[in-house]
Amino acid sequence: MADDGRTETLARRAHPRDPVAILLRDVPAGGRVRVQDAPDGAETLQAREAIPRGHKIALRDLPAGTALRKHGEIIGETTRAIPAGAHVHVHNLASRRARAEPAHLSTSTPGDPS
Amino acid sequence: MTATFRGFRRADGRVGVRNHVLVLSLTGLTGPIAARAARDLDGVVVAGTPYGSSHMGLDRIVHERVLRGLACHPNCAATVLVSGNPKHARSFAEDLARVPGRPVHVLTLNDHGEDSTALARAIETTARGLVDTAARNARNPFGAGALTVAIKDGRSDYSIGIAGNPVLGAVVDRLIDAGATVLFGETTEWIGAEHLLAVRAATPRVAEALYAAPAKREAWAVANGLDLLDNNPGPTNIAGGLSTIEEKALGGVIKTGTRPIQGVLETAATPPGPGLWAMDTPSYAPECLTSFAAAGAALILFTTGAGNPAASLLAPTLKISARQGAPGIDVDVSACLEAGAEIGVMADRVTDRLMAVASGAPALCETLGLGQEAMPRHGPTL
Repeated sequence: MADDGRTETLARRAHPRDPVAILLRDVPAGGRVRVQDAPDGAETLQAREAIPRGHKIALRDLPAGTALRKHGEIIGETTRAIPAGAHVHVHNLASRRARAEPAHLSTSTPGDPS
Repeated sequence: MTATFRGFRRADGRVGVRNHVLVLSLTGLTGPIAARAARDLDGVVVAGTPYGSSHMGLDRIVHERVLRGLACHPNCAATVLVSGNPKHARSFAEDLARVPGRPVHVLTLNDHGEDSTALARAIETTARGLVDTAARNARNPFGAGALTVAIKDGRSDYSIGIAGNPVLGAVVDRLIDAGATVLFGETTEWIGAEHLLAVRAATPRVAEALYAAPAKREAWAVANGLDLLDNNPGPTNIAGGLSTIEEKALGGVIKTGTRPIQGVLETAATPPGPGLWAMDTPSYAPECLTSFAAAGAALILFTTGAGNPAASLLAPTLKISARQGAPGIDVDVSACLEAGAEIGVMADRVTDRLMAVASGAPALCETLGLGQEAMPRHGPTL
């Protein structure tokens, strides 16, 4: 569906200071996104690419290696620079907790909060 | 928030929200007889274990703890124990009798000449009599602090992390502030967010336990050739927008609110006092909900995305969803996504419905007859 410049897709932040918002509907590339929980409802931005419902959109430019917050807590680190309006997901966000090697080869002991 | 509900004070001091007569089969052998005898009786619920004697170690301990917890559940006025093992049944009943005031009857296959028809007849007669006696119990007013409520989520989607679970977290905070007892579990779902729970631990020892419980289950998984951190989030989670295990776990622990965590309970263990308690439980809903019910949860609040039919038989299980049109939902909180409603307003909606159900209004799971109790299992069988 071509974006006519007037259609807005809602997104919502989990926490007011999060640098990402969650799309409440699919948004096409170039679509206008309104951040629902912004205090005066005035925050909007343009999606740089198509982003599915439930996925994250960057609300500002994020350098590579940024600790990314959702609900105000760190959920991972950006693996490359992400411009505002871009899709934030497994291709540019890495877990800090995920193992670098399979568990049965790991030498960390149970209870080690790695 | 509605401050009071009308419930039943039991002899052990706990308050229930239902007045069932419970027919409880203590052995797998007598399960079908109990179910058949009691299935059409008003005021009677039937639960039981499919197991009996082939379990060992932790399974044996948890099995007994669950049966005991169900047998003396605050939502039940009286208990009919049905068994194929008379020695066990009698000592089980003697143990229950230490807290007087709850009628407990024991009916065994052996006492009825191994005749299942005779046993079924005896169960029906006994249960009917107990229903008449239970009818004399009256509801009295109590504050929300008298409740033990458990929480869970399942069949999650994008809406749970940003709507359903934040709403539930707000409800949990209110219940704790009112003096209630709240239980959460699903240990493997804490993986990736242990630090967020540990920082709320009441003591350093509790903090250690919040790391140790998921590490233990992780070790069991590894011993069985599974890696809980590999392929987690899985393909469905990733398609739904979850990028990392931290994000997934965070969306889950949000439902526990912000108040201190008093301790980590063993599976199905009764909390020793009010407040918020973690419990080491399986993550699959039937076993998880039974662990909560056996610990004395009178009600369960369950957030879902697209819908989830899981329900405890003894503890009415209210479904909450922020997905408009999801089936089988007791409280629709989609207004906080679709119409920008405040999380607090949605939390009011949930607590109002919780108190209404506590006072006797049926939860959907009760109307639809979806409740069950499922024995949590851990190890091999002989």
